[in-house]
Amino acid sequence: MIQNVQWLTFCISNAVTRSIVHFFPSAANVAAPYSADCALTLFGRDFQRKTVRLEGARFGQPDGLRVEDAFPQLQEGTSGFFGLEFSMSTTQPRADILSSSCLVELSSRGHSCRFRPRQAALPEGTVAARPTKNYGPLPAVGIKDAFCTTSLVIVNASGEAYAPKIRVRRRLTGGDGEIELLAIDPLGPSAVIEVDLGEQFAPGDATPQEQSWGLVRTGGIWLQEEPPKDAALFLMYRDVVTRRPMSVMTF
Amino acid sequence: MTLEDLTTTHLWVCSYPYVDSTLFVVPPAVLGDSSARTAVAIYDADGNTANEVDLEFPSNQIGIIELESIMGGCKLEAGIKHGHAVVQSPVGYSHFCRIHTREGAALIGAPASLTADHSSFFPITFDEGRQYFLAFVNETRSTANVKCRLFCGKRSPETLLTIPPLGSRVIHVETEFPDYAGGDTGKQLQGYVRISTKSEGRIGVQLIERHATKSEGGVFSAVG
Repeated sequence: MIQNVQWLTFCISNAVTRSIVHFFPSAANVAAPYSADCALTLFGRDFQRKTVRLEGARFGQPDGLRVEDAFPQLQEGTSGFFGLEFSMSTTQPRADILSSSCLVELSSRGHSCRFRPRQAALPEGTVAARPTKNYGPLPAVGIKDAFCTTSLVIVNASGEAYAPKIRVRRRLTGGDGEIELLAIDPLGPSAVIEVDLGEQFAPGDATPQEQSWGLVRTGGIWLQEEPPKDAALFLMYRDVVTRRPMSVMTF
Repeated sequence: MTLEDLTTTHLWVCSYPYVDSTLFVVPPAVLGDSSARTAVAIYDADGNTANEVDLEFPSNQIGIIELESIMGGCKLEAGIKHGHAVVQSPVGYSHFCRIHTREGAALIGAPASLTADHSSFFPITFDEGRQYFLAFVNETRSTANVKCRLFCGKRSPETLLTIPPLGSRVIHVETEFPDYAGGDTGKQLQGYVRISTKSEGRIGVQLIERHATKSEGGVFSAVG
Protein backbone atom coordinates (compact mmCIF):
# COMPACT_ATOMS: atom_id res chain seq x y z
CA MET A 1 0.00 0.00 0.00
CA ILE A 2 1.47 3.34 -1.08
CA GLN A 3 0.83 6.28 1.23
CA ASN A 4 3.41 8.69 -0.08
CA VAL A 5 4.06 9.63 -3.69
CA GLN A 6 6.51 12.15 -5.10
CA TRP A 7 7.20 13.74 -8.42
CA LEU A 8 10.26 15.55 -9.68
CA THR A 9 10.00 18.14 -12.40
CA PHE A 10 10.95 21.64 -13.49
CA CYS A 11 9.16 24.92 -13.94
CA ILE A 12 9.88 28.20 -15.69
CA SER A 13 9.36 31.64 -14.27
CA ASN A 14 10.05 34.74 -16.32
CA ALA A 15 8.28 37.72 -17.87
CA VAL A 16 6.69 35.55 -20.56
CA THR A 17 6.06 32.18 -18.92
CA ARG A 18 4.68 31.22 -15.55
CA SER A 19 4.13 27.76 -14.15
CA ILE A 20 1.19 26.06 -12.51
CA VAL A 21 1.22 22.76 -10.64
CA HIS A 22 -1.98 20.75 -10.91
CA PHE A 23 -2.55 17.69 -8.75
CA PHE A 24 -5.15 15.02 -8.19
CA PRO A 25 -5.11 13.11 -4.90
CA SER A 26 -6.75 9.79 -5.60
CA ALA A 27 -7.15 6.44 -3.89
CA ALA A 28 -8.81 3.69 -5.89
CA ASN A 29 -9.95 1.90 -2.73
CA VAL A 30 -11.35 4.96 -0.90
CA ALA A 31 -14.34 7.02 -2.06
CA ALA A 32 -14.51 9.48 0.85
CA PRO A 33 -12.93 12.90 0.31
CA TYR A 34 -10.28 12.53 3.01
CA SER A 35 -7.66 15.23 3.16
CA ALA A 36 -4.28 14.72 1.51
CA ASP A 37 -1.06 16.32 2.71
CA CYS A 38 0.80 18.04 -0.11
CA ALA A 39 4.12 19.86 -0.19
CA LEU A 40 5.91 21.76 -2.93
CA THR A 41 9.68 22.28 -2.88
CA LEU A 42 11.40 24.73 -5.20
CA PHE A 43 15.14 24.81 -5.85
CA GLY A 44 17.61 26.08 -8.38
CA ARG A 45 20.85 27.87 -8.92
CA ASP A 46 20.87 31.07 -6.86
CA PHE A 47 17.65 29.97 -5.14
CA GLN A 48 17.85 28.30 -1.78
CA ARG A 49 15.69 25.20 -1.47
CA LYS A 50 12.35 26.10 0.06
CA THR A 51 9.29 24.00 0.90
CA VAL A 52 5.67 25.11 1.15
CA ARG A 53 2.94 22.91 2.61
CA LEU A 54 -0.44 23.07 0.92
CA GLU A 55 -3.71 22.80 2.75
CA GLY A 56 -7.12 21.79 1.54
CA ALA A 57 -6.29 18.98 -0.90
CA ARG A 58 -8.86 16.20 -0.85
CA PHE A 59 -9.14 12.76 -2.43
CA GLY A 60 -11.03 12.77 -5.71
CA GLN A 61 -10.83 16.54 -6.13
CA PRO A 62 -8.29 17.98 -8.59
CA ASP A 63 -6.63 21.20 -7.55
CA GLY A 64 -3.66 23.37 -8.41
CA LEU A 65 -1.71 26.50 -7.69
CA ARG A 66 0.55 28.94 -9.42
CA VAL A 67 4.14 28.37 -8.41
CA GLU A 68 4.70 32.11 -7.99
CA ASP A 69 1.83 32.25 -5.47
CA ALA A 70 3.57 29.62 -3.37
CA PHE A 71 6.98 31.27 -3.77
CA PRO A 72 6.53 35.07 -3.92
CA GLN A 73 10.26 35.50 -4.60
CA LEU A 74 9.45 34.55 -8.18
CA GLN A 75 7.32 37.68 -8.48
CA GLU A 76 10.22 39.79 -7.32
CA GLY A 77 12.43 39.29 -10.31
CA THR A 78 13.98 35.89 -9.70
CA SER A 79 13.59 34.15 -13.05
CA GLY A 80 14.74 31.15 -15.03
CA PHE A 81 14.41 27.39 -14.74
CA PHE A 82 13.73 25.87 -11.33
CA GLY A 83 13.46 22.36 -10.00
CA LEU A 84 10.20 21.32 -8.36
CA GLU A 85 9.46 18.42 -6.06
CA PHE A 86 5.83 17.70 -5.33
CA SER A 87 4.92 15.22 -2.63
CA MET A 88 1.57 13.88 -1.53
CA SER A 89 0.84 11.70 1.48
CA THR A 90 -2.05 10.50 3.58
CA THR A 91 -2.54 9.45 7.17
CA GLN A 92 -5.54 7.30 6.27
CA PRO A 93 -4.28 3.79 7.02
CA ARG A 94 -6.30 2.06 4.28
CA ALA A 95 -5.82 4.58 1.50
CA ASP A 96 -3.49 3.60 -1.32
CA ILE A 97 -2.67 6.82 -3.19
CA LEU A 98 -0.65 5.24 -5.98
CA SER A 99 -3.24 6.35 -8.53
CA SER A 100 -2.75 10.03 -7.66
CA SER A 101 -1.31 12.20 -10.39
CA CYS A 102 0.34 15.51 -11.05
CA LEU A 103 0.64 17.82 -14.06
CA VAL A 104 2.75 20.90 -14.71
CA GLU A 105 1.52 23.71 -16.95
CA LEU A 106 3.89 26.21 -18.54
CA SER A 107 1.59 29.08 -19.38
CA SER A 108 2.50 31.95 -21.65
CA ARG A 109 0.37 34.47 -23.47
CA GLY A 110 -1.54 32.65 -26.18
CA HIS A 111 -0.31 29.19 -25.31
CA SER A 112 -0.09 26.58 -22.57
CA CYS A 113 2.11 23.52 -22.52
CA ARG A 114 1.29 20.75 -20.05
CA PHE A 115 3.25 17.67 -19.13
CA ARG A 116 3.48 14.95 -16.52
CA PRO A 117 6.50 15.04 -14.21
CA ARG A 118 8.69 12.08 -13.44
CA GLN A 119 7.24 10.04 -10.61
CA ALA A 120 9.83 9.17 -7.99
CA ALA A 121 10.87 5.56 -7.63
CA LEU A 122 8.30 3.34 -5.97
CA PRO A 123 8.99 0.30 -3.80
CA GLU A 124 10.17 -2.72 -5.78
CA GLY A 125 7.33 -4.72 -7.26
CA THR A 126 4.96 -1.76 -7.36
CA VAL A 127 3.46 -0.98 -10.72
CA ALA A 128 3.91 2.72 -11.45
CA ALA A 129 0.66 4.62 -11.83
CA ARG A 130 1.96 6.26 -14.97
CA PRO A 131 4.89 4.40 -16.38
CA THR A 132 7.16 6.82 -18.16
CA LYS A 133 7.16 5.28 -21.55
CA ASN A 134 10.44 6.74 -22.76
CA TYR A 135 12.31 5.76 -19.70
CA GLY A 136 15.24 3.38 -19.59
CA PRO A 137 16.37 1.98 -22.88
CA LEU A 138 13.52 3.34 -25.00
CA PRO A 139 14.60 6.15 -27.30
CA ALA A 140 13.20 9.65 -27.60
CA VAL A 141 13.18 11.81 -30.70
CA GLY A 142 14.94 15.08 -31.45
CA ILE A 143 13.40 17.26 -34.15
CA LYS A 144 14.40 20.42 -35.92
CA ASP A 145 12.20 21.82 -38.64
CA ALA A 146 10.40 25.02 -39.57
CA PHE A 147 8.17 24.75 -36.49
CA CYS A 148 10.10 23.27 -33.63
CA THR A 149 13.48 22.68 -32.14
CA THR A 150 14.47 20.33 -29.35
CA SER A 151 16.18 20.86 -26.03
CA LEU A 152 16.96 18.71 -23.03
CA VAL A 153 16.05 19.85 -19.53
CA ILE A 154 18.05 18.19 -16.76
CA VAL A 155 16.94 18.41 -13.13
CA ASN A 156 19.32 17.44 -10.35
CA ALA A 157 17.60 17.48 -6.96
CA SER A 158 20.44 15.77 -5.13
CA GLY A 159 23.20 17.31 -3.06
CA GLU A 160 25.88 16.00 -5.43
CA ALA A 161 26.90 16.77 -8.97
CA TYR A 162 25.28 14.73 -11.75
CA ALA A 163 26.71 14.10 -15.20
CA PRO A 164 24.09 12.52 -17.47
CA LYS A 165 25.23 10.35 -20.35
CA ILE A 166 23.09 11.03 -23.39
CA ARG A 167 23.63 9.57 -26.84
CA VAL A 168 22.31 11.00 -30.08
CA ARG A 169 22.11 9.43 -33.53
CA ARG A 170 21.39 11.77 -36.37
CA ARG A 171 19.99 10.73 -39.71
CA LEU A 172 22.81 10.71 -42.21
CA THR A 173 22.80 9.81 -45.84
CA GLY A 174 24.31 6.34 -46.14
CA GLY A 175 25.89 4.39 -43.30
CA ASP A 176 24.29 3.57 -39.98
CA GLY A 177 24.15 7.09 -38.68
CA GLU A 178 26.67 8.39 -36.27
CA ILE A 179 26.06 7.83 -32.55
CA GLU A 180 27.58 10.53 -30.39
CA LEU A 181 27.86 10.94 -26.67
CA LEU A 182 26.72 14.46 -25.90
CA ALA A 183 29.23 16.59 -24.08
CA ILE A 184 27.27 17.88 -21.09
CA ASP A 185 29.05 19.51 -18.17
CA PRO A 186 28.24 17.95 -14.78
CA LEU A 187 25.26 19.57 -13.16
CA GLY A 188 25.82 21.02 -9.69
CA PRO A 189 23.68 20.11 -6.66
CA SER A 190 20.06 21.33 -6.71
CA ALA A 191 20.35 22.69 -10.23
CA VAL A 192 18.37 22.73 -13.45
CA ILE A 193 19.69 23.41 -16.94
CA GLU A 194 18.33 23.47 -20.47
CA VAL A 195 20.65 22.07 -23.14
CA ASP A 196 19.78 23.18 -26.66
CA LEU A 197 20.00 20.21 -29.01
CA GLY A 198 19.23 22.28 -32.10
CA GLU A 199 22.85 22.22 -33.23
CA GLN A 200 22.79 18.43 -33.25
CA PHE A 201 20.30 18.57 -36.07
CA ALA A 202 21.69 21.55 -37.96
CA PRO A 203 22.03 21.53 -41.76
CA GLY A 204 25.18 19.65 -42.64
CA ASP A 205 25.02 17.56 -39.48
CA ALA A 206 21.80 15.74 -40.22
CA THR A 207 20.19 14.78 -43.51
CA PRO A 208 16.69 16.23 -43.83
CA GLN A 209 13.56 14.39 -44.90
CA GLU A 210 10.98 16.20 -46.93
CA GLN A 211 7.46 16.28 -45.48
CA SER A 212 4.35 18.23 -46.44
CA TRP A 213 5.29 20.97 -43.94
CA GLY A 214 8.88 21.24 -45.19
CA LEU A 215 12.23 19.73 -44.40
CA VAL A 216 12.61 17.95 -41.07
CA ARG A 217 15.82 16.81 -39.42
CA THR A 218 15.50 14.13 -36.75
CA GLY A 219 17.59 11.99 -34.49
CA GLY A 220 17.17 9.32 -31.86
CA ILE A 221 18.14 10.25 -28.29
CA TRP A 222 19.02 7.69 -25.63
CA LEU A 223 20.01 7.66 -22.00
CA GLN A 224 23.12 5.56 -21.66
CA GLU A 225 22.32 4.84 -18.04
CA GLU A 226 19.35 5.47 -15.81
CA PRO A 227 19.60 8.70 -13.85
CA PRO A 228 19.74 8.52 -10.05
CA LYS A 229 16.42 8.65 -8.22
CA ASP A 230 16.71 12.36 -7.51
CA ALA A 231 17.38 13.41 -11.07
CA ALA A 232 15.01 13.72 -14.02
CA LEU A 233 15.38 14.50 -17.69
CA PHE A 234 12.82 15.99 -20.05
CA LEU A 235 12.75 16.71 -23.75
CA MET A 236 11.27 20.10 -24.54
CA TYR A 237 10.11 21.10 -28.00
CA ARG A 238 10.06 24.87 -28.52
CA ASP A 239 8.45 26.90 -31.27
CA VAL A 240 11.24 28.07 -33.57
CA VAL A 241 9.89 31.62 -33.93
CA THR A 242 8.41 32.48 -30.52
CA ARG A 243 10.65 30.10 -28.48
CA ARG A 244 7.57 29.12 -26.47
CA PRO A 245 7.60 25.55 -25.10
CA MET A 246 5.12 23.62 -27.26
CA SER A 247 5.46 20.20 -25.67
CA VAL A 248 7.49 18.48 -23.00
CA MET A 249 8.02 14.75 -22.59
CA THR A 250 9.51 12.89 -19.67
CA PHE A 251 12.66 11.09 -20.81
CA MET B 1 7.20 -12.42 -34.30
CA THR B 2 5.18 -12.83 -31.09
CA LEU B 3 3.44 -10.12 -29.10
CA GLU B 4 6.27 -10.29 -26.54
CA ASP B 5 8.68 -9.21 -29.27
CA LEU B 6 6.66 -6.11 -30.11
CA THR B 7 6.27 -2.61 -28.79
CA THR B 8 2.62 -1.64 -29.13
CA THR B 9 1.38 1.95 -28.84
CA HIS B 10 -2.21 3.17 -29.03
CA LEU B 11 -2.55 6.71 -30.38
CA TRP B 12 -5.40 9.09 -31.02
CA VAL B 13 -4.97 10.46 -34.54
CA CYS B 14 -6.75 13.18 -36.49
CA SER B 15 -6.63 14.57 -40.00
CA TYR B 16 -9.45 17.14 -40.30
CA PRO B 17 -10.38 19.94 -39.68
CA TYR B 18 -8.04 21.10 -36.94
CA VAL B 19 -4.78 19.20 -36.91
CA ASP B 20 -2.86 16.67 -38.96
CA SER B 21 -1.11 13.75 -37.30
CA THR B 22 2.29 12.39 -38.23
CA LEU B 23 3.75 9.20 -36.78
CA PHE B 24 7.41 9.00 -35.72
CA VAL B 25 8.95 5.53 -35.31
CA VAL B 26 12.25 5.74 -33.41
CA PRO B 27 14.66 2.77 -33.52
CA PRO B 28 16.76 1.60 -30.56
CA ALA B 29 20.42 2.53 -30.16
CA VAL B 30 21.60 -0.98 -30.87
CA LEU B 31 20.69 -1.86 -34.41
CA GLY B 32 19.39 -5.30 -35.29
CA ASP B 33 18.46 -6.04 -38.88
CA SER B 34 19.10 -3.44 -41.53
CA SER B 35 15.41 -2.66 -41.69
CA ALA B 36 12.43 -3.17 -39.42
CA ARG B 37 8.73 -3.53 -40.03
CA THR B 38 6.13 -1.41 -38.33
CA ALA B 39 2.46 -2.36 -38.56
CA VAL B 40 -0.13 0.40 -38.30
CA ALA B 41 -3.83 -0.39 -37.93
CA ILE B 42 -6.23 2.52 -38.15
CA TYR B 43 -9.67 2.11 -36.59
CA ASP B 44 -12.35 4.70 -37.26
CA ALA B 45 -14.30 6.36 -34.46
CA ASP B 46 -16.74 3.44 -34.35
CA GLY B 47 -13.95 0.88 -34.10
CA ASN B 48 -14.19 -0.43 -37.65
CA THR B 49 -10.93 -1.14 -39.44
CA ALA B 50 -10.26 1.81 -41.72
CA ASN B 51 -6.82 0.73 -42.91
CA GLU B 52 -3.95 -1.60 -42.14
CA VAL B 53 -0.47 -0.97 -43.46
CA ASP B 54 2.93 -2.58 -43.04
CA LEU B 55 5.79 -0.13 -43.22
CA GLU B 56 9.46 -0.88 -43.52
CA PHE B 57 12.01 1.68 -42.37
CA PRO B 58 15.82 1.41 -42.41
CA SER B 59 16.63 0.56 -38.80
CA ASN B 60 19.22 3.35 -38.59
CA GLN B 61 16.66 6.02 -39.38
CA ILE B 62 13.59 7.47 -37.76
CA GLY B 63 10.51 6.51 -39.73
CA ILE B 64 8.09 9.34 -40.44
CA ILE B 65 4.65 8.86 -41.93
CA GLU B 66 1.95 11.48 -42.36
CA LEU B 67 -1.18 9.63 -41.34
CA GLU B 68 -3.64 11.56 -43.48
CA SER B 69 -2.59 9.36 -46.39
CA ILE B 70 -3.87 6.24 -44.60
CA MET B 71 -6.86 7.76 -42.79
CA GLY B 72 -9.10 8.09 -45.83
CA GLY B 73 -11.42 5.39 -44.46
CA CYS B 74 -12.11 7.26 -41.22
CA LYS B 75 -15.43 9.02 -40.85
CA LEU B 76 -16.32 12.32 -39.26
CA GLU B 77 -17.39 12.08 -35.62
CA ALA B 78 -18.21 15.22 -33.62
CA GLY B 79 -17.20 17.15 -36.76
CA ILE B 80 -13.67 15.76 -36.62
CA LYS B 81 -12.05 13.10 -38.76
CA HIS B 82 -10.28 11.05 -36.15
CA GLY B 83 -9.48 7.51 -35.19
CA HIS B 84 -7.44 5.08 -33.15
CA ALA B 85 -4.03 4.00 -34.43
CA VAL B 86 -2.44 0.82 -33.11
CA VAL B 87 1.27 0.88 -33.94
CA GLN B 88 3.47 -2.19 -33.54
CA SER B 89 7.24 -2.29 -34.00
CA PRO B 90 9.98 -4.58 -32.69
CA VAL B 91 10.85 -4.29 -29.00
CA GLY B 92 13.03 -1.28 -28.21
CA TYR B 93 11.29 1.06 -30.64
CA SER B 94 9.36 4.16 -29.54
CA HIS B 95 6.35 5.76 -31.20
CA PHE B 96 5.37 9.41 -31.09
CA CYS B 97 2.75 11.50 -32.79
CA ARG B 98 3.23 15.03 -34.04
CA ILE B 99 0.07 17.10 -34.33
CA HIS B 100 0.39 20.19 -36.44
CA THR B 101 -1.38 23.03 -38.19
CA ARG B 102 0.07 25.62 -40.53
CA GLU B 103 1.01 27.65 -37.48
CA GLY B 104 2.53 25.26 -35.03
CA ALA B 105 3.30 21.72 -34.00
CA ALA B 106 3.41 19.68 -30.82
CA LEU B 107 4.86 16.27 -30.14
CA ILE B 108 2.83 13.85 -28.04
CA GLY B 109 3.16 10.30 -26.84
CA ALA B 110 0.53 7.75 -26.04
CA PRO B 111 -2.57 9.03 -24.21
CA ALA B 112 -2.86 8.71 -20.43
CA SER B 113 -4.17 5.36 -19.23
CA LEU B 114 -7.62 5.25 -17.75
CA THR B 115 -8.67 2.08 -15.93
CA ALA B 116 -11.22 1.12 -13.30
CA ASP B 117 -8.48 1.57 -10.67
CA HIS B 118 -6.99 4.70 -12.07
CA SER B 119 -8.89 7.89 -12.84
CA SER B 120 -7.37 10.77 -14.72
CA PHE B 121 -7.69 14.54 -14.62
CA PHE B 122 -6.92 17.56 -16.76
CA PRO B 123 -6.86 21.29 -16.01
CA ILE B 124 -9.13 23.49 -18.11
CA THR B 125 -8.89 27.27 -18.31
CA PHE B 126 -12.15 28.72 -19.62
CA ASP B 127 -11.10 31.71 -21.64
CA GLU B 128 -12.30 33.41 -24.81
CA GLY B 129 -9.25 32.41 -26.80
CA ARG B 130 -9.12 28.72 -25.87
CA GLN B 131 -11.00 25.59 -26.82
CA TYR B 132 -10.59 22.16 -25.26
CA PHE B 133 -11.13 18.70 -26.63
CA LEU B 134 -10.93 15.44 -24.75
CA ALA B 135 -9.93 12.59 -27.05
CA PHE B 136 -10.49 8.97 -26.05
CA VAL B 137 -9.32 5.71 -27.58
CA ASN B 138 -10.75 2.39 -26.43
CA GLU B 139 -7.89 -0.09 -26.43
CA THR B 140 -10.18 -3.03 -25.66
CA ARG B 141 -12.60 -5.14 -27.70
CA SER B 142 -15.48 -4.26 -25.35
CA THR B 143 -17.63 -1.15 -25.19
CA ALA B 144 -16.31 1.25 -22.57
CA ASN B 145 -18.25 3.75 -20.49
CA VAL B 146 -16.56 6.87 -19.21
CA LYS B 147 -17.69 9.54 -16.78
CA CYS B 148 -16.35 13.09 -17.16
CA ARG B 149 -16.96 15.40 -14.22
CA LEU B 150 -16.13 19.07 -14.37
CA PHE B 151 -14.99 20.77 -11.18
CA CYS B 152 -15.45 24.51 -11.54
CA GLY B 153 -16.25 26.77 -8.63
CA LYS B 154 -18.74 25.06 -6.36
CA ARG B 155 -20.38 23.05 -9.09
CA SER B 156 -19.45 19.69 -10.55
CA PRO B 157 -21.64 18.70 -13.50
CA GLU B 158 -20.88 15.46 -15.27
CA THR B 159 -21.40 13.82 -18.62
CA LEU B 160 -21.31 10.18 -19.65
CA LEU B 161 -19.68 8.83 -22.77
CA THR B 162 -19.75 5.46 -24.52
CA ILE B 163 -16.75 4.43 -26.61
CA PRO B 164 -17.16 1.55 -29.06
CA PRO B 165 -14.65 -1.34 -28.98
CA LEU B 166 -11.35 -0.15 -30.54
CA GLY B 167 -13.08 3.12 -31.36
CA SER B 168 -12.42 6.72 -30.45
CA ARG B 169 -14.48 9.65 -29.26
CA VAL B 170 -13.92 13.38 -28.92
CA ILE B 171 -15.68 15.70 -26.47
CA HIS B 172 -15.69 19.43 -27.01
CA VAL B 173 -15.54 20.57 -23.39
CA GLU B 174 -17.24 23.93 -23.95
CA THR B 175 -20.14 22.21 -25.71
CA GLU B 176 -20.54 19.56 -23.02
CA PHE B 177 -20.45 22.15 -20.25
CA PRO B 178 -21.94 25.26 -21.92
CA ASP B 179 -22.60 27.09 -18.64
CA TYR B 180 -18.88 27.73 -18.33
CA ALA B 181 -18.03 28.47 -21.95
CA GLY B 182 -17.92 31.66 -23.92
CA GLY B 183 -17.21 33.90 -20.98
CA ASP B 184 -17.27 37.46 -22.30
CA THR B 185 -16.19 39.01 -19.03
CA GLY B 186 -12.56 38.76 -20.01
CA LYS B 187 -11.89 36.72 -16.88
CA GLN B 188 -10.28 33.34 -16.88
CA LEU B 189 -12.04 30.55 -15.03
CA GLN B 190 -9.97 27.60 -13.82
CA GLY B 191 -11.60 24.20 -13.74
CA TYR B 192 -10.69 20.53 -13.84
CA VAL B 193 -12.15 17.55 -15.60
CA ARG B 194 -11.95 14.29 -13.70
CA ILE B 195 -12.36 11.22 -15.88
CA SER B 196 -13.19 7.79 -14.53
CA THR B 197 -14.48 4.46 -15.74
CA LYS B 198 -15.76 1.22 -14.32
CA SER B 199 -15.21 -0.64 -17.58
CA GLU B 200 -12.55 -3.34 -17.75
CA GLY B 201 -9.37 -2.80 -19.69
CA ARG B 202 -7.56 0.33 -20.67
CA ILE B 203 -8.82 3.50 -22.28
CA GLY B 204 -6.48 6.20 -23.51
CA VAL B 205 -7.37 9.84 -22.84
CA GLN B 206 -5.73 13.04 -23.99
CA LEU B 207 -6.49 16.73 -23.56
CA ILE B 208 -6.05 18.89 -26.62
CA GLU B 209 -6.06 22.65 -26.29
CA ARG B 210 -6.59 25.02 -29.19
CA HIS B 211 -5.53 28.61 -28.97
CA ALA B 212 -7.32 30.76 -31.49
CA THR B 213 -5.09 32.87 -33.72
CA LYS B 214 -5.84 35.37 -36.46
CA SER B 215 -6.01 32.59 -39.02
CA GLU B 216 -8.37 29.61 -38.99
CA GLY B 217 -5.90 26.99 -37.82
CA GLY B 218 -4.86 28.04 -34.34
CA VAL B 219 -2.09 26.61 -32.24
CA PHE B 220 -2.56 23.28 -30.48
CA SER B 221 -1.01 21.60 -27.50
CA ALA B 222 -1.79 18.23 -25.99
CA VAL B 223 -1.12 16.18 -22.91
CA GLY B 224 -1.87 12.56 -22.17
